[in-house]
Amino acid sequence: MTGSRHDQLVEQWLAAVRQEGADLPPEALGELLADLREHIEVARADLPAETEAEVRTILERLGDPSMIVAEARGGSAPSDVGPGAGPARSRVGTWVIVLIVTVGLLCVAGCLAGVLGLVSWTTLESGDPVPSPLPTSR
Amino acid sequence: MAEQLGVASSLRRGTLEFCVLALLRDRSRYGVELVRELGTAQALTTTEGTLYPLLSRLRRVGWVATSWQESPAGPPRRYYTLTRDGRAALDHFRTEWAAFRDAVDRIVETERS
Repeated sequence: MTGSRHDQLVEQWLAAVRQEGADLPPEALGELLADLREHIEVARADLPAETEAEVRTILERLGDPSMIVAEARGGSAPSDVGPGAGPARSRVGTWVIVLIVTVGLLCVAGCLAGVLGLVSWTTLESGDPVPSPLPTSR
Repeated sequence: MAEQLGVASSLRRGTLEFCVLALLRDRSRYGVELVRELGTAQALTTTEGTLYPLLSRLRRVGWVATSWQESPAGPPRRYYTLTRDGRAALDHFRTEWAAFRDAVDRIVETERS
């Protein structure tokens, strides 16, 4: 009947939120889903007559699942209450450091290779370790 | 347009939670009620759903407490109540906000068109 069709719409929407929030801590995701589910049920009960359009409107007003999850993920702690950075931020920071160190090591390796290559090339050429660029005899 | 959205979103962050606390000053409210009242202020919210993570954070830091109440006709509702810490945080914000708002208005010359 229409009731279960509306239920289907709601479950689909909540499933989308669950999917978007797969990387959230399970407790936070569970709480969010419970809050959203309650909102929907209360809003539906408030409707004088429940139609599909009304149910869709409730879900539309709640908004895009990815935006809601983004808020749960990226929102910092309320002002004046201690550190707000979540795990995501420190994870990015770690990767930046790894990248810089890797690039740095590559630069050093590159320089070494260049120097060594130059030395072996000059050795190969003349048989002497390093040819003197200056005239040797006067 | 994207620039304007960015400004609005930056302003919201840091003030919206105090608007929520202010709505709870005189009495407890349930989720849908809170969300709808904030929703009427267009400048304040993106979508209703984004308020639930915010409410979660307020709960976590102890500025808001929740309780379930049976409803005569319909599902039980979760009511949000301002805690003493929440009330203190709100009072602090109101002082800070007034000074901040006045300073910005003055510098940006909001009155002058």
